Amino acid sequence: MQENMIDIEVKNVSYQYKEAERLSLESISLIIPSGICLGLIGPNGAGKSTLLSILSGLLQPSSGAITFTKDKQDIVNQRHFIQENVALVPQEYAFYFPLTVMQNLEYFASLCGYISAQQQSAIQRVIQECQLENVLTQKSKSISGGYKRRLNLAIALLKDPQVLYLDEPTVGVDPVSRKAILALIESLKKQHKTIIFTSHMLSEIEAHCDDIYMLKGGQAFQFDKIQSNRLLKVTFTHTLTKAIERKVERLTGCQISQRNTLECQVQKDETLWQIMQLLQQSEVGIHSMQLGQNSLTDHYLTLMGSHDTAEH
Amino acid sequence: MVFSDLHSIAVLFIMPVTFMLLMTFAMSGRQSDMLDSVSIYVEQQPQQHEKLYVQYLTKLGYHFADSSDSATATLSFSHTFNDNVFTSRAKNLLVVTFSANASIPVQTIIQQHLELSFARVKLHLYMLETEELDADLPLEQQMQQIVKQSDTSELITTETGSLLPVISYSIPSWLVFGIFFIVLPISITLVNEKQSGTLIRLKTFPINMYTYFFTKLTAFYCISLAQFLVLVFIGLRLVPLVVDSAPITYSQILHIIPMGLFICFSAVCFAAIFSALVKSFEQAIVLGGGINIILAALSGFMVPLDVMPPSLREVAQFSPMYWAAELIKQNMFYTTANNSVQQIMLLCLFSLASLGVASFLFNRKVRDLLWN
Repeated sequence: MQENMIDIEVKNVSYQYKEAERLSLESISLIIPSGICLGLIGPNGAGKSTLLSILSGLLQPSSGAITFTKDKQDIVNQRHFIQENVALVPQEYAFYFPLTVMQNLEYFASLCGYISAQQQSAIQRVIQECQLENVLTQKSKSISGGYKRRLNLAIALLKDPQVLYLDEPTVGVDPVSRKAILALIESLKKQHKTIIFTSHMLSEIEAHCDDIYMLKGGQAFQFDKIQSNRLLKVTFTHTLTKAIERKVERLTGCQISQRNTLECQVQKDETLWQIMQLLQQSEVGIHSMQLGQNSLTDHYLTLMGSHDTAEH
Repeated sequence: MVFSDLHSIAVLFIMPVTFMLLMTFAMSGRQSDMLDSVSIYVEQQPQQHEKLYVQYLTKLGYHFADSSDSATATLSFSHTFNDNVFTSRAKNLLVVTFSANASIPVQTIIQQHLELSFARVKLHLYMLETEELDADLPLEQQMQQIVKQSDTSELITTETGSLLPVISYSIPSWLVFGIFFIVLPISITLVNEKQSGTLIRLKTFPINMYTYFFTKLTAFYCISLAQFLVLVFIGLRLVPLVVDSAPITYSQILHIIPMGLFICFSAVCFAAIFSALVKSFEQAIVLGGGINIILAALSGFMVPLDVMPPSLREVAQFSPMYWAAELIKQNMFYTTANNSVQQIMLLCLFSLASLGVASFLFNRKVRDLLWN
């Protein structure tokens, strides 16, 4: 069995800021198993930062709880645990611009509680992982945006964390640096690190995260990559009668547009077969049938759109 | 980091040295230098005793302007001047009007000189009447005799060493002012760390945030001590050479250096309060810089305490900048250890109280940190 298996469970966590009229997080529950990369997406103000603050121990939830378990054992002293095992990579460049890249690494490494040899080894490891060899002697303020992002990440990796929170790690970087950062994330996944990754680049989230949650209005919606992005689209040869239309809508839970097209998000295979059976029973002529992949962007826009409509 | 930041170097070194130079140079002017720029206009053509009065003023070093517009003061003799100047009950023989540009010290000096000239004219006339002054002598020689007779400077002896050079006032004040400006680098560093997310990152590092805060303050304390040494050397050895004053000796400097331990400690602890309090660069500059300037004014750095009203002088007794400047002055020239102990005690108490407040505020700041 692999050691250092850290699972995180968020149980019914709600949070309300002082003087705020509504909850920033509303009874959120999610499980983050060890070694997965979890993507958090959502518009600004959706509650991502609040959730990350709670996961980092910066905020205490108004209700509910966060549980960290290491090798199936509950962690009692979470503050100490977070300091030892969790690293943050803020969206801002959280290091000292007047120092060189190497001086920054040495300074932050000195705060990790390493003895001298361990410190040097940790610095060499992150230099290699983040490919910082060429800029070590340069002032941090004068290196490119891509290198700044890598240094930001490298500092977080100095303490060899088991859990890593990445807040938009590729924002504003050139394609070469983006590729390097994403490759590093893949490499961290292979090391069974747990990664929580927020980004507005939905294609990156879709490509690199094992599990994705969308936050909207303080609520979390899980996006199942395998099941939930299948869209069934059936076009009938003739306009359906009102009676058949109602029957199909009632049975499938899907809507028919222009009285001859059925569009349906299909989550389970069983539902797909039920719809097929129903269409056969209805004896409607089928002009075309398409089962396609719905992208995360489509799903995101659909969800955000429906919520906007619901909210208004 | 501080030494690679030009703004910090400017605040900690260039600004105080500039102030020390400017203020020492500004205060090094003698009274005769001051009178060079002062001119007097006499409204009517002086006659008889009025003429003598004007000549005594000229002897004091005054220039006479062609019009009242360009004059510092305008004199208007009463029409009874010549008849009454020698009588004992004469009043309002001269009306003086100061221009808007005349400063209070210049007005005071002119006023004193006008009174001195009256005294000399009266003495002159008296001695002529009693024939103690030879009326046949040329007027210039008569006046010389009168000036000699009325010269009282030899009656007063100034004890050696008690007449302090101008640097004794300006250098301690502006040195302390510069030391307390450590508030800006400390506050700006903490604001930077908060805004860049470094403080949040550090909160998740395996370190105690109090330890981190006090380590940072210790680093700034070392910088402050270095700043103190540099400013003491520049202020007390180099600035006097520039303003043509005698530099103080190295043995006097050795008396001052230990005082830096307490002065820098109080400055860093005071700065710690603001660093934990401010949330933006603007607040750091306005609050940190503003409070320092107000404290300096209240401590008598800008206007000497002895020309302030008693109530303001009392306020200075509660200012850490005043205690610090007094500590330097006392150790520059005096050996009264008791006063130093009192100032040191006050500075230490102030430092500990500041440190307590700063710790409380920093704890609150760290507690309220949020992921942006």
